Amino acid sequence: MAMNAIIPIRMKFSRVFLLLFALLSLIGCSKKEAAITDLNALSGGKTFAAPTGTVIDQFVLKRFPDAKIEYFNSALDCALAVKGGKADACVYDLPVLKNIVAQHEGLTILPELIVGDRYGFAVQLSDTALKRTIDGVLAELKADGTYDDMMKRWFPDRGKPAPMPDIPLTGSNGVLRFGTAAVTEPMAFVDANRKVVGFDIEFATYVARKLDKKLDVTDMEFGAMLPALIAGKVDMIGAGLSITEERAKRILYSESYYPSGIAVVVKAGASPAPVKGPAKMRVVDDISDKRIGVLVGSVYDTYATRKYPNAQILQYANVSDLLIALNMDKIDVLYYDQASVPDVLKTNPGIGQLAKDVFSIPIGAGFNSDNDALREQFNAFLKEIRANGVYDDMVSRWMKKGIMEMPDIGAANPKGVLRAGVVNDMGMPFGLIHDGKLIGFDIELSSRFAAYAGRAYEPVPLQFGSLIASISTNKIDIITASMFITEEREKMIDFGDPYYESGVSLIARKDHIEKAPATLMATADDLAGKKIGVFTGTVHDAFVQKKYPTAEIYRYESSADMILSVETGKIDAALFDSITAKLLMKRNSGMGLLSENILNMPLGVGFSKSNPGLRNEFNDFLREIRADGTCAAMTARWFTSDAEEAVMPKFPTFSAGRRLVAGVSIDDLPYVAYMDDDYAGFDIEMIRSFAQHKGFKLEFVTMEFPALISALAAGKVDLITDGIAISEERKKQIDFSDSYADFRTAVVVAKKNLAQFAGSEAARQARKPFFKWVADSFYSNIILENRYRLIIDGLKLTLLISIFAALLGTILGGLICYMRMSRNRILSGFAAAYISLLRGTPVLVLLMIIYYIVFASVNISPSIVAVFAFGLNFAAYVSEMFRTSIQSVDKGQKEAGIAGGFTMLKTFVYIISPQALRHLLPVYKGEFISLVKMTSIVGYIAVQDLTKASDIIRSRTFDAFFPLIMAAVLYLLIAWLLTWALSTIEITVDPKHRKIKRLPEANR
Amino acid sequence: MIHVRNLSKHFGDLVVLKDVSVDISKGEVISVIGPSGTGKSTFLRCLNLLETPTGGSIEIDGIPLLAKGTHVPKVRQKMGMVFQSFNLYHHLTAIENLTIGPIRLLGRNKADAQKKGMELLKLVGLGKKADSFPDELSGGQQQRVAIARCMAMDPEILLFDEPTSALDPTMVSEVLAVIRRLVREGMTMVIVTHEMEFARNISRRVFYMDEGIIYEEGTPVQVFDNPQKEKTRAFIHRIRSLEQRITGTDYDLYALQAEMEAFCDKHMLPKKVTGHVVHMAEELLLLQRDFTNIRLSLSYSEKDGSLAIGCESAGAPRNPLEEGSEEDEIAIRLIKARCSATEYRYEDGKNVLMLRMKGE
Repeated sequence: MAMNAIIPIRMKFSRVFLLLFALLSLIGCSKKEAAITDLNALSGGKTFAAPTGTVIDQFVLKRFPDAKIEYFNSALDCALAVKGGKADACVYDLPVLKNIVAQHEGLTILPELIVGDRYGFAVQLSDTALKRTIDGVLAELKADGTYDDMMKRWFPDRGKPAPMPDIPLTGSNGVLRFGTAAVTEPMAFVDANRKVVGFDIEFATYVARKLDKKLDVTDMEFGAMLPALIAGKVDMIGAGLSITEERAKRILYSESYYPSGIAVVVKAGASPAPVKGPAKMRVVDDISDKRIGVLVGSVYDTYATRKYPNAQILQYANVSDLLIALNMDKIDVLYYDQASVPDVLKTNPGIGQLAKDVFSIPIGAGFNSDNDALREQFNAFLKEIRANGVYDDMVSRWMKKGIMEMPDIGAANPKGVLRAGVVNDMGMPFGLIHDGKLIGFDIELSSRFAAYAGRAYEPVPLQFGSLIASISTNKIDIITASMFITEEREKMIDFGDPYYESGVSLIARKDHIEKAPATLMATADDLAGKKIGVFTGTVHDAFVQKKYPTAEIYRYESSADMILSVETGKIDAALFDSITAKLLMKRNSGMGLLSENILNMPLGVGFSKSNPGLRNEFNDFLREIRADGTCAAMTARWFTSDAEEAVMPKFPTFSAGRRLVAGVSIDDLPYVAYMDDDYAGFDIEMIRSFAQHKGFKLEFVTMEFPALISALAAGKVDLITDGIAISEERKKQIDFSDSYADFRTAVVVAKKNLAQFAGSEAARQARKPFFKWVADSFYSNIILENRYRLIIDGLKLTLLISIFAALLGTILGGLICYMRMSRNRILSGFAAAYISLLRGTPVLVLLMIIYYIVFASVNISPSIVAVFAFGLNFAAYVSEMFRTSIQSVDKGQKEAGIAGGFTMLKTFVYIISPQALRHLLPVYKGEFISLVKMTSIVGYIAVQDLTKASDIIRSRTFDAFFPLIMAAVLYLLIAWLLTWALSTIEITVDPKHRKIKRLPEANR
Repeated sequence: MIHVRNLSKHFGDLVVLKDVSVDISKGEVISVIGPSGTGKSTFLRCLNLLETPTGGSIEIDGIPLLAKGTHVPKVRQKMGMVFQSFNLYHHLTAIENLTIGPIRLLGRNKADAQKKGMELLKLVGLGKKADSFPDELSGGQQQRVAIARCMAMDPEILLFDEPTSALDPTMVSEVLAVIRRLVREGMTMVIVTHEMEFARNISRRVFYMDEGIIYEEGTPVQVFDNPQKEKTRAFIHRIRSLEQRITGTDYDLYALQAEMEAFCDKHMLPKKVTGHVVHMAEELLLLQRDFTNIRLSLSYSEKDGSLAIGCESAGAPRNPLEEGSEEDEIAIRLIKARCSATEYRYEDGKNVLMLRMKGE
C-alpha cells in the first residue's frame, strides 16, 4: 500500500522539475536573444534565408558581405525558418513578406529596406493612351480613398487578405486584355475559389471600368509576360512588376503604384506588455487610465483628450475600424453615438454599453461660412418639417424603430445640384450602406432638403476627417454627417440649427465591464425594464404591457411556478392579487411586497351572453346578501381576517333542482382553493350560497384559468368565478355580474431586491436542515388538509382514462388497420387519411377541439372526452403497429392456412394473429406507457388527474419540488406496473414459454 | 376427379398459362416436370385457387370451383397442399399443426384429433417430435410434418409444390419415402418436382410443361425414354448448350475460348476435357474458309455426360473434314482422333458439321 502511494508523488515531483527546467531554459533563451529592430543589427555573420533562383542573395551580400545565406524553396519556407530559429532573417519582396507576416505570429518586418523598388504596370511602347488612363485611375483611386481601402484589403495587419470586392463591368467598349503571373500573393494570386485575384487584378479591374471595357485576365508564366505584351497578345501586364531601366526600353511603364523593395523579416521581439491590467470598468470615470478609441477629428477626440489626460487616446479613421479595434482588444473603450448603440450591440455580441448619456451635444448641418443663403434655407426647411410632422416621423423611423428603409425623395424639376457630404459607414441610424444603397437619417434629411430646395441630390461619401476641408473648399455644399456643433468647428464653418441632439455612450467589451449589482427596487416605477411575471390571460398581462412597455413579461399558469421563478431570480417581480400576496408572504420569508396596490379592478362572476336570466338572478342575490349582512360576514371571513384560518360554512347539497355548473381554476385563497378535500374560498361560499338560495343542483368544474372564458362561451359551464376582474375586453365575450369585491394587485419581489430590506438579515433566507425540510414538505403537501386524497383521486382518474383510452384505441386501431389493409380504395384511403391526420395533430389540440368544438353543446363528462380523444389518437398509432406486425408474418403462413381449408377470417384468427401478437407487444407496450404520460394534459379540460392534483397542491403550498417529484414517482410507478403486466402477457403468448410450462406436466 | 378446361393465367402482360386442359382421375399420380418459370407451380396453385385463374374452368369432384356460390374453403379441405417452404404454423408445435385443422374446421374433439395426429406423426416417423416447434426441426422433418398435416384432414387429393427443392440433398430421400408410401395407399396426387427418377418411378402419367402449356404428356416410359419433341428431349437429357457467333475474320479467338472454358467449368468438366474442347474449336475454325457467318455451338448432356461441338457456316457446300487442303491435314486428323462420330450436312445454304467428342 505504502509503495503504491509513494510512486505517484515521486512522479509528480519529477514532472514539476521538468516544468521548472523548461521554464528556466525558456527565460534563458529569451534573454540571450536580443530582438533585432533595425537593419544594422544584422551585420556580423548573421544567417539569411533566401529563396533559391532569385538575385536577392546578391543584394544581401552587397550590403552584408559576411552574411551566411541559406536557400529555401519559397519565401514562406524562408520566413518559417526564421520563426523556427534556423535563420536570423529572411529577405524577399516587401508585399509578399507583409502577407506572410500577417498570417504568421511572431514575425516582424524591419522598417528599412535592403533595396528599394517600385512596381508599375506596363503597356506596349506605343500605347501612351492606355498608360495615361492607368495613371489617371491611380490618381483617382488615391484621391477618393479606394487606394487606402485596397491597401487595407490586401495588406491586413493580421490574417489573410480580404476577398476581392465584386466590381461590376458593363463593358460596352470591348475587352481589356490583362496579363499576369498569379504566383505572388497578395499582388496577383489564385484564391480558394480558383479565381485570379489580388491587388494588381483589382487595380486592372478599375482600369477596365474606366475604359468601359470588360476585363480578360490571362494567367501566364512571369517570364512570358513581357513577350506576350510586346507581341500584342495582351494590352497591359502587371504582377508585382518592378520598374527597371532595361525593361523600360521595350515596354512603357505606368507611374509606380506601389513602393516595394527587398525587405527583411526577423523574429518579433517580446510583445510589449499590455498597457493596463485587466481592471474592469464600472463607471464612466474608470476609463481615465484606459485606451480610448475615438474617431479622428471628432468631438469625442477633444472631449476625451481634455477630460482624461492620463488616458491613451487612439485615433481611428472610421467607425468600423474602431469597432474592430475594440473587438480585438486594441482599445478598452470607445465613445459612440447613443442612437447607434442598439445596432452595434445587436451585431457585436461581445460588446456592452458601459454608460450612456455621458454627455450630449447638438448635431447640426455644416455650411461654408460664405454660404449664408443656403444655411438660412436649411433652417427654414427644418422649421417646416418640424411643423408638419415629417421630422417626427423620421425620428420615429430611424431612431426609435430602426426601420432600414429610405422613402423615395426627389425634386420634380431639379435646378442645380446639392452636393451633401456624408459618411457612409457611420452605421445605423445616421448613415450606412444597406443592400447597396446609401441610407440613414442624415441621408434622408439632406435629400429631403435637396428636394425642398428644388435641387438634384448628390451625396458625396467622405471620411469624417475630410468633411470640413471639403466644405471649406466648396467641394460640397452641405455636411450632414451627424456632426456635433462645437466651438472649434464653428470657427471654420457655419452650422444650421441643430437637427438632432444626440447622447453619447461609452461602449466596451463585455468582459471589461463590471456588472453593477442589480439595482434595488423601491417603488412600482422601478418595474420598468424588469422581468415581470403574470398569470396567463389575466388583466395583469395587458396592464403590464401598457404601463411598463419596456418590461419583459413572463406568463405563468400557476402561482406556485411564478413564486418559484421570483425565488430563483428567473423574474424580478410577480403580480398577485394583494390578498394572495399577503398569504404568500407569510409562507415565504424571502419575499417582500414592492407595492400593495398598483391596480384596482372590480371582480365579477362571468355568465354566458346567451343566459341573461341567470345573471339577473345572481345580481338579485348579490343585492340580497349585501342587504342582510351575509356579504359583510363573508368579506370579514375571507378578506379581512386570515383566509387560511377561515372555515367554510356547511351547505346542504341538492340532488334535485336545476343543474348549475360553475367553472373555477383553483388559483388560491381567498377566492377559490381546495382545502380539506373540498372547494373553499370566498367565491365558493358565494356560489354555494347562491345555489342554496335559488335551489340549484351545483357542480364545480376545474380548469386552467385561460380556459375559463372559452368554457363559458362553449356552454360547458353556466358561470365562472375565480377572482375574475371585470375588463372591457372580457366584456366583449361574456357578461359579468355586478362587482362583488375589489381586486387589488400587489407586486411581489424577492426581499434581497427590495430597497427597504437592503442589507437586512431577513433578506437572506435561513436554510432548514435537509431532513427537516423533507419532513415538513411531506406534511404540508400530503397530510395537511387531507391532500393525499386529492392525489389518490387524481391517480384513479389517470389510470381510468389511460386504460379506457387504450381499450378504445386498440379496438378502433384494429378497425382502422382492417380498413387500411383493405383492397377497397375508399376504405384504405380513409384509413390512411385518418392516420396521418391524427398522428399529425398534437393530442392537446385534439383534446381541446373535441371538448370545446365537437362536444360544445353536448353535456358530457370531460373524463369521457379525454378517453375519447386519447383513444382516437392511440388508435392512429396502434393501427400502424397492427399493420406492420401483421405484415411481418411470413406470407407462407397465410397460404398454408388458406390451402388447408381455413377461411380468410379463420386464417387471421388462428394463424396470423397469434404470430403477429409477438411482434406487436413490445412496441405496443411503449406506446401504452407514453399514452399514460400523455394523459397529464387533461387538466386543460377540467379533469383533475394526477398532474392537476399536484398543481392544486402546489398552488396551496407554493412548494414546487415535492408535489412535482411525487407526481413523477407516481407516474413512474404506473408505468412500471403496466410494463410488468404487459410483459406477463408477452411471455404467455410466446409459444416457447408455453412449452416450458407444459414440460413438467409431461414429465409427470 | 379433376377436370381442367382452357385454364389460363396472366400476370399483367405476362402469360403464364394458356388454355391448359387436363383430366385427372381418382387414384392417379401425376408428375409435372419442366424447366423453371414455365408455369408448373402456377398450374398447381390454380387447382386450389391459391392463384385465381384468368380464364377457363376447374372442376373438382364435380364441384365447379370458379362458379359463384361455391364454398371454396370447403373444397380445399379435401385437397391438401405441401409447399416448397413447408409453411408449418410457427407458433404451434408439430402435433398442434396437425390438430388445428381437424379441431377448428372439421369439428373433431381434441382428444380424437390428437390421437389421429400422433398416429400420423408416427407414420411419418416423427412420433417423438410431437411437442417440437417448427424451428426446432430439420427441413426434412418439417416437410414430413407438413405432409402429415395434410393427411390429418383426410384429403382426397394431395398437391405437392416442389416438396424437396428447399431441402438439403441428405434429407430429400426421407421426404420422398413418405410420399412413396402415400402413393401406395392410392391417394390422388399432383406433384411438381425436379426429381426425375422419383417422378419416373411413382407416377402414372408425366406432364412436361413448357411455354405455358402441357408441352408433352404420357407415361413415364414415353416421356423419359422416348420423348417426341425437341425441347422435351433436351430437358430430359438435361442438355446444356453454349452458342457463339462469328461474323468476320477478325473475331476474338481468346474471348471465344475463355467463354468455352467458363462453360466447361460451370458444368464441372475435367480440365483435360476442357482442353480438348478448346483445342478442337480452334482446329475447327482453322478449317473454315468463309467467316461471314459462323455459328459455333457446344452442348453437354448432364445426364450421360456426352459433349458435342456444332459448326454452321455460310458459303458453298463444303465439308471441311473431307475437302481440306494439305495444310489442313493435321487439323483434320486431330479432330477425327478426338471424335467418336462426325456428321456433315448442307442445309438452307449452310454447312452444318456436328462433332461428337469421345467419352473418357
